[in-house]
Amino acid sequence: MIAAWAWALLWAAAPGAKGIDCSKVEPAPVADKAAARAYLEVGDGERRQGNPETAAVAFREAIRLDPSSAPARARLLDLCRAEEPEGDEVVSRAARAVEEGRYEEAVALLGPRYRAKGQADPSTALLYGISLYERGEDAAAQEALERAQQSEETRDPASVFLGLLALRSGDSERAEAQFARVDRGASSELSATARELSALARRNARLAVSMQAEGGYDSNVDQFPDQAGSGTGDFLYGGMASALFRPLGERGPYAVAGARLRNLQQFGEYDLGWVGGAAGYRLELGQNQLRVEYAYDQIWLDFQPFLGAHQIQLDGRLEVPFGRLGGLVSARAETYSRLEQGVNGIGNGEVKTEQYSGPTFDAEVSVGWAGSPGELRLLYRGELHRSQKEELSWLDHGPGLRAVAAFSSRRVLVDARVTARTHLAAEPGPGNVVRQDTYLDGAISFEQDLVGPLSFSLTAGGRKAFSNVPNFVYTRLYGSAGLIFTAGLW
Amino acid sequence: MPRLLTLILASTLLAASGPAEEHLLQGARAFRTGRYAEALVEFKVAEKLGAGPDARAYAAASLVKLNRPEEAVELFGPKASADPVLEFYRALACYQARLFTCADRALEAAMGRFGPRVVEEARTIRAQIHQTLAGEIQPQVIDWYLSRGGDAVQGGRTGLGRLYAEEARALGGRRKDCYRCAEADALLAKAKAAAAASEARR
Repeated sequence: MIAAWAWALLWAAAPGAKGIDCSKVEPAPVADKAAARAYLEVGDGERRQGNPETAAVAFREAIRLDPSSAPARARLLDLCRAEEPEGDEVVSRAARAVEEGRYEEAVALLGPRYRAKGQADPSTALLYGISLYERGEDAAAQEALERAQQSEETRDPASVFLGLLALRSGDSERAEAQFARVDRGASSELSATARELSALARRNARLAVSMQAEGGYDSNVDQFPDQAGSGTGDFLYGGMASALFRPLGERGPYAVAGARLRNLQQFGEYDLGWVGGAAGYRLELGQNQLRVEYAYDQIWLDFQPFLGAHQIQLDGRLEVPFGRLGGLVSARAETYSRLEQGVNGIGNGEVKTEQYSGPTFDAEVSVGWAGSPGELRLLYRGELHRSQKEELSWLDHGPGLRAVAAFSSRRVLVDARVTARTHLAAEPGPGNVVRQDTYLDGAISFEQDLVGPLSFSLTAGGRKAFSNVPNFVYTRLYGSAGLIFTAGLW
Repeated sequence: MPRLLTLILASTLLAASGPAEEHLLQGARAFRTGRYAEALVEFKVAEKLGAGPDARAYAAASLVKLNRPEEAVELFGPKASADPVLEFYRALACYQARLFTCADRALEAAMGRFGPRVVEEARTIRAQIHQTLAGEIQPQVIDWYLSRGGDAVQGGRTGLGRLYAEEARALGGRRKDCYRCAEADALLAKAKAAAAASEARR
């Protein structure tokens, strides 16, 4: 999106396209020097009359028929050179390529021009730097953008991209300084973008910590069936702390760890505790990315062990002409636990594994479209859970939608999905029914930056569960508000 | 229209051979596919290689397509073409160069030889010309033609100067006061003399 306005900036000043073809001339199978001379004369005539495009056609034909014709080559070269300073067709074409996301083409067009000139013109340096940045060639992009930053006309967009480069490398201080340079003197649109990025830089550090306090309401804590009356609603409160460590910035290795406590006012048996951590590696090439991650989660319910899970996940994104393709696969070993109750309900300390423990496999494909305010993503996800009992194993799948919109100091996230779940065997008991559920889930989150490292969040969502077993038909609505503290430590 | 030109060219050239004809044919192909700059170059090369006056007229037709009417009218020359299609292009060149009486005369003379589609276009153009010339011709209009013609003769473009002078004379003659008719006649004579001198030097 930033490339788009940088393009617009250049395009506004770019001259109209001219029709001189300066590409390589392929020789004719048979040389014809007499005809080549005639073409040369015609080309000279056209050039004298001020028609360089037609003259170039004639000179090219002269070269094709007589590749050794130095005059024809010299004249064509003259025409191409004469066009360069004012016409800048190369820059115009490269700007178009950048706008349409064809960064490789832009680099190919601008590279020779950038390298050939000791002091490349600012437009070339800026476009070249943007293209290299998008391709993930950060060192070369840095050099070109620094060159563009030296010129008044391209200083502001160059500063934005230098800030983005710093952000990518995890140097939030340098990023913020670059964005601040834009803030001082750019157009309002550019200035607003720089302010947004500056706020982002404050959160993006190599080592960042975050703490959150929240309170809210859950209308159906225990998924009480609709047919049995109103659900068991309860107020909730809790907090969360997490830390993210990315020694090389957005790319490369990372590790995250966190803990969460969420208590319910009345139903203590659903009080939730979570501790988890993940470590992974993120590989980026331009807009394309691939990430591999290992994660471990431990959950307690009512302060008793409930779930321990090891997970391996691989996910990636790939830019294609019509959008951004995404994919994810993961495998998780889930162990559900139960603390054996002794006499008088006092735990005897023995932890047993529940029969519904087992592996879970996930796969997701998605296609997304990014625009200036954010991204819209359509996805399809499937999940298979196996356990010791077939009736406690299931397969589910369904479509979903995810939308993220980021404005100056606020963000909105919408998530909606439909899931059809089929258990793999009938549950023993009356009816001998194979359970089939359908879930409609929806959630919307809103986040507003407050002063300094503080921000405020609001979340609302719900689920409607349908099932061929009436006891599993339920409705749940929830909402919460929170205060978040985020700070970069390094 | 381009297809017509190509057919004419092809019929006359299919049996022909030789480098000039080959370039004429290439020019016709380029013209048909809308590559007028290439067509122009090919026709000019054909002319240089001895293809005769037709190549020059075809080059002029390409110039019309390239929106270079002054060069086109120069290349066509003052004489009517025997080929009705080329004559239509000559009229178009005159019209684009604001040589309205030149265009009207050419269209009127060739009207009987045009095919049905060209006739329709010719009628439309003539109607537009008559509408343009319907009111009284303002003196500054005639001034413009004389100035343009004078510059052309001065610059050695005697053919073009002659056409502008003729236009100025024709338009001046439409006024009761025959505005600057004598000057137009003088410019015409000067252009003719310069053309004759140029011819003699060759």
